[in-house]
Amino acid sequence: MRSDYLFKTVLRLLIVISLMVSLAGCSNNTEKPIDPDREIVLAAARDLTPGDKDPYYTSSILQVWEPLVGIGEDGKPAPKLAKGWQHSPDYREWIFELAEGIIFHDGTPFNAAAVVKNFERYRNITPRVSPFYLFDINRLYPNLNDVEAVADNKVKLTFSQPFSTLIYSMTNFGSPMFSPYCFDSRTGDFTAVASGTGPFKIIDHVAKQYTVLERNDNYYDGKAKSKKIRIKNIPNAETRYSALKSREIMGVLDIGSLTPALTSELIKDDDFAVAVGKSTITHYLFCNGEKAPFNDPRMKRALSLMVNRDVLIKNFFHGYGISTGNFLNGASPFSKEIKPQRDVTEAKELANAVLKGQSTTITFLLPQYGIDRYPYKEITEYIQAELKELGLHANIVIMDWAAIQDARATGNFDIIIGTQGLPNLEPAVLFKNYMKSTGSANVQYRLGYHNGEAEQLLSQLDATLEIADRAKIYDRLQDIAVEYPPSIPLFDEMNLAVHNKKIQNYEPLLYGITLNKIEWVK
Amino acid sequence: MMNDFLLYLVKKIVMIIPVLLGITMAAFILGIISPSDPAAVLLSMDGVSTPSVQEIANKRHELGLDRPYIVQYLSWLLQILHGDLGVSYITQRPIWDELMLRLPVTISLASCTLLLVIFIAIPLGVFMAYKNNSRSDFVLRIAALIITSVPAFWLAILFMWIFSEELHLLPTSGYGTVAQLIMPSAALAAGTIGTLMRLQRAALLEVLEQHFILTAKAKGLPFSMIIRKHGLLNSLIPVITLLGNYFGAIISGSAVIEYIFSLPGLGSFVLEAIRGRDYPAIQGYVIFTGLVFVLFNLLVDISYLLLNPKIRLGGK
Repeated sequence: MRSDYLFKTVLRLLIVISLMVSLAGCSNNTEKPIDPDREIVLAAARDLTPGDKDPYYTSSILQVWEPLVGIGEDGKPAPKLAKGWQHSPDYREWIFELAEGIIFHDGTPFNAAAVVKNFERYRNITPRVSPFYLFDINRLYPNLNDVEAVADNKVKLTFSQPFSTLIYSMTNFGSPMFSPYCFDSRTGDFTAVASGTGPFKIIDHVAKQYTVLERNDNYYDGKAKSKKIRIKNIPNAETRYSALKSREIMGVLDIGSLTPALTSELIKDDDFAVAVGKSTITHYLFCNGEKAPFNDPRMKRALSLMVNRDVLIKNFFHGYGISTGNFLNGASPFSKEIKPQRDVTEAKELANAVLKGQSTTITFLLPQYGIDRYPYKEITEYIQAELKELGLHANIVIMDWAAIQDARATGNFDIIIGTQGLPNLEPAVLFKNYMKSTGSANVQYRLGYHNGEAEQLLSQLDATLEIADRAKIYDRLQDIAVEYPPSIPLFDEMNLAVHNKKIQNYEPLLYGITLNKIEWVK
Repeated sequence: MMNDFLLYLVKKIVMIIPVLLGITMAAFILGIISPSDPAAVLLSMDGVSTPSVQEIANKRHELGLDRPYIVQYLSWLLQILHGDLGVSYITQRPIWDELMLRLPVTISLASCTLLLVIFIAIPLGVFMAYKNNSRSDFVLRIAALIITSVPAFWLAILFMWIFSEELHLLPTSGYGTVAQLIMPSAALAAGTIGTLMRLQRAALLEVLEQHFILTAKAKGLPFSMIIRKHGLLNSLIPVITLLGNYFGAIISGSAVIEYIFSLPGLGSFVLEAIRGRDYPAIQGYVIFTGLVFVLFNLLVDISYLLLNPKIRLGGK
């Protein structure tokens, strides 16, 4: 009798679940027309609003604040809050003409006084860490002497040394502008919610949970299409996938928005789409050039010639990558297309010459973030097999990023797979870090990079003011990095804007998506 | 009797002091021996910047990491004694504020989980003992074994697939509503429900073999009443021990479930802190959860006294 009762209970439960499934299935057929002003919910892997202690309060991709100099569609610096600029012949004085009639979200007018106050804050927060970009005025504006309001809409920056690439350095995170009334310029901390000039303002934020944006109806350059957007913080990629499938969120954004494998899986469903664009991130193999076998540049070259980048992109990145042989990311305005070379015979000859016909065991480090965000485990195992053909038996070790940094500092590694993003549109920083013998990445990552010509060109850079002349140097440095790689580029990442087709105009930008253009499909 | 009770309590509280001191030392030493330099990690947290040796040295000085370990430990201990857990390297906010921001999330999760465990496992355990060696007992024992063996993260993914992706009944993530706590609590509770069902069954069966139960049976009391009035209370000591430890374990060990369901609780806080080598945050977390564990054990000890007075009298 008791067993019968149990059986009946289980049966009832199954019937209820079946009914629920049926009802859930029916619900799709009875959709109501979408209210165009209904909140759009998106998700990102991290909290995009770190808050009052952060140099930017919120990421630029939420379009709350705007910089003086932005990035144009061609990937070059473009006017934003500064509508134009002029410089003295020696590049020591720069005058920025500001756009007029713009007000911050709190009603404060944007003018030269506000810019000066922001620069005052820059000095006082230097250096300030951030999950987006470390803010350091000495790196962004080296040798800056003075910032002066020369008119209500004009600001003059004076440098003690010529600085011809200033506008490249100032793009996006290099010149964020906030209302002087939302921060304490002495401490640099925000005293209220960040008030910028962007198409959206923050109306609610719960740390590590969500940020709610509301359209700035006074925006000077055309109102955003959506009235309200909520950006949820969902750290796990699989959960973001499930949230998309369950229609809880309409799209994803920011770094590692969705892994290539999950993206491919999701767009099998006709309700979803992906738009792809350039990204500033490149995937590399970093070799320890201070010890054998990679202290011989021929071995690095052999590795570069051996890796089949097309297979990596096609099989593991589901086609969402751009194979490259260029050290400099393709999003840089100074980057040129360099197709990667693959020559297994030459690779084996070079490796054989270095190893003298012997084989050796090496340590191949794999950062944990590469498993969370990318298919690094599969990629590493594939490269491990290719290395074997060169006589290198790789032991793969998975570590968290901090432990990898320690391994780098102590030299306990041979190869590390990882990413490097563009610090800004001025590539000199990257070239100096990696290719100068005293460069910080060269020293700290134990790249052991020494190339006479590169050293000479990098020394020339400081004295080369004209952009066209600098471009020639950058051009040559890219060629040198192919023959004598400081690190081995695999492919440039692609910015994946994955979204539900119920919203439209969801396009990727170099940073983020076209947030101000997205709207419900009518 | 009252004096014995107080003496017992004082003894237990005094014993907490060396435990807490040990926790502070363990937390500090773990920070020292973990690989990598927090200053370097902090300065390159954007994944773009490569700090110079000098910049790292400056940051180390700013964070006080260039001082001898003993000085660092003692000044940190002094700070704790003043009720200050320090400031997070990453968020630059007081650790106490960070913990208090996340504590309600973890407490909610732990409470829901505990409620599920108590209201499912104990009645089922009692039922199994009541129906000892019957077909239902056998089925439930197998079921308990299965749910104990299934990892919580796997259940989490399964729940998300069924109830969010397919049925659209429950939200995948977030915090703020009861619905958002159902799946994480169920995933977290499942394993312990299985364990507790078996424990409750075994404990009750042991009690049911005691002489006083035989006396009750001889008096002609109905079996269900014997279990309810005499068996259950006497079988609760091992169950409460497990629940006490379990609550502490959820507070400190729900990181994976919090991560999967995007619950910004203590678990995800410490995961971030470990990744960023945020020593003050890790140490603050260890102290805090250590304290919670110690207090829960104290509460469990006190509950023993209420359930079985022989314990405070040392068996007299």
